[in-house]
Amino acid sequence: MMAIEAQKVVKSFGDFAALKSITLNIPGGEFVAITGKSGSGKSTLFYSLSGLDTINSGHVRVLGKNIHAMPQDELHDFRNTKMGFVFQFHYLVSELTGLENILLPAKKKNLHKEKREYALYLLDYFAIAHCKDKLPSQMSGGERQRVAVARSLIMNPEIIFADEPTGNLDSINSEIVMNIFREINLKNKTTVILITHDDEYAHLADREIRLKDGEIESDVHYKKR
Amino acid sequence: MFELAIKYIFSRKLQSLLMLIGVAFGCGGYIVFTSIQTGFQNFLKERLIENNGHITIRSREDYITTDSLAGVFFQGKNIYWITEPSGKRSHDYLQSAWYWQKRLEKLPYVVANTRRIEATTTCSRGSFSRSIALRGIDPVNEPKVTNIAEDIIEGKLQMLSSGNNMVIVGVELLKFLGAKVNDTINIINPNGHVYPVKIVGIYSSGDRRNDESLVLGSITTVQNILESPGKITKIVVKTVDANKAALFAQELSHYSYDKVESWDQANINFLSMTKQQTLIRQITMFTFILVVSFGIYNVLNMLVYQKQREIAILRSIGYTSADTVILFLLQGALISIAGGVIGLIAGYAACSYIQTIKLPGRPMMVAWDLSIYIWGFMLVIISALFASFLPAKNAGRLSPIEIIRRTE
Repeated sequence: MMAIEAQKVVKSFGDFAALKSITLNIPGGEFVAITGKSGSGKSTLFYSLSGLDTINSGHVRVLGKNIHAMPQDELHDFRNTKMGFVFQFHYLVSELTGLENILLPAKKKNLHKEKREYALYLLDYFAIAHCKDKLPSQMSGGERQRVAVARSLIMNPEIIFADEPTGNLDSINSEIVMNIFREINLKNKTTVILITHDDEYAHLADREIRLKDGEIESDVHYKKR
Repeated sequence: MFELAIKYIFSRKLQSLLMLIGVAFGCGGYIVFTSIQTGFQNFLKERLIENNGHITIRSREDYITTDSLAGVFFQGKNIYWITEPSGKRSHDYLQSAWYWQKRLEKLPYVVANTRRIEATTTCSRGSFSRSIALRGIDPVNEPKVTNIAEDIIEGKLQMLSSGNNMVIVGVELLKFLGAKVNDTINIINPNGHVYPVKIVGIYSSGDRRNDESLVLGSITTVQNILESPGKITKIVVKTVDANKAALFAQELSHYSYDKVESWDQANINFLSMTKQQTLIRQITMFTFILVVSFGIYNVLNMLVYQKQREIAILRSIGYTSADTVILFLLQGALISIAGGVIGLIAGYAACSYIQTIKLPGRPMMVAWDLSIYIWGFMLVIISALFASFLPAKNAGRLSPIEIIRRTE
């Protein structure tokens, strides 16, 4: 099944066309890196594919659903259960502990009690068990980002959207985070859409879609590791 | 959202505490100011009603005009007055007191009624003399209509019936005359005739004007002094509800040409003053609560600004716009409820203390009315919720993608 099908997606900001009729298909379980220089439209594509932003024309189907035609409530629900998000800045809630931050998406569905064990497992799996009761201000940058990744996984999403997740991390933590994405993809068959400007990390993916001036410049499939 | 709202509140202890104190002051302040003012107004109102009943019926005073004399002398003819008629036409005494009493006894809203004869005269003792308000009352019926009997600090009202020429004198007047109970004083009637009367009691209402001038006697005694046998100047009525006295008075006025006046109609200036006081209090409280609301608005607005990125992530992980509105509204609601409860307790405690403060002649008057507490609580809750709603609504309007774009 296709995780994402985008047909002639156009997104403009006034006269500036950020995406010029992008068409792409991402099968389920694929690890895709979207790369390109600043202003190439990769973040805009990320937001358009995830339904965080609207598009001017075209269609985006995520797991078979036309997300831009969905009512808002349904879209929120869809994002909560089917998608996980990781941003460059961790965006943890500063008043909540590591465990509480991870359980935040589950809380929306009142599933936080059922998901607690899984959250503890994720903390352990990502080697941040010691952050369980720590506030974000008491964690390192790498720990915060790993908490954010754990949060994106708590609802067992079918697609992970990661926007420059290593952009704010040192090389060691960047590698840890990237390996986590690779493992999630391999172990859970979760589709990972990774926005990065780092070629090294792009090569960890199954496929690299390079954008230039709002258009796909290249679409390269790498040999699976 | 509830848990997160609590976390937000406790993570900003100083801001939350200031909001809480503001709300508590608003609620407590409203309760204290309103209780004191209402208590004082109720006290004055009770004094007015206590002394003069709910309704008084007396002979009507009319201004004489050309219209009131039309047709009296030359029916059907045009009259050109050289000097237009003027002045007042009045009867000093109620012409139909007996008729009134019979009718009043049958009315369901009349609790009791009593007759009075009143006049301004002079009393003297030795070389001291003073103008007095001489009031002839029915010692049996008067206590059913007014609380005058409770103000007798020595002797009893019933002693006025124990013989002719017995009087009860205001405490200040007694001091002025240098007299005491069982002494005799002279009352000089409008015709200049002197009547010696015996003091059988002392009256003290706390109202200096009354205490300096009031002399109570039985109706017969006062009629004798005024040389007006069988005459009555007014009937005083107690109804089932003092607040409806004006309505009852209006109905009674249809029965006769006599002047029927309720206590509030007779004291319209006093009521205007209390209304003005209430208005001033309401404006003061409104301003105060407005300042508290602005405080809440500013704190929450700042919080929404500071929490933009967290709002963005909440929205991206499935929380709706309504969830973010609820998150901030809950904070306002929780703080306002907590502050309101503290305000209720503080207001109650302050009122309890204030009531123990002694003023000259009486303690501080405080109204213990549940509605004051309900109003105080509701007022701050509604104001705080309204103040929280605007920042909460702004939080709900934030576009997650715009926040992310701005911060990345």
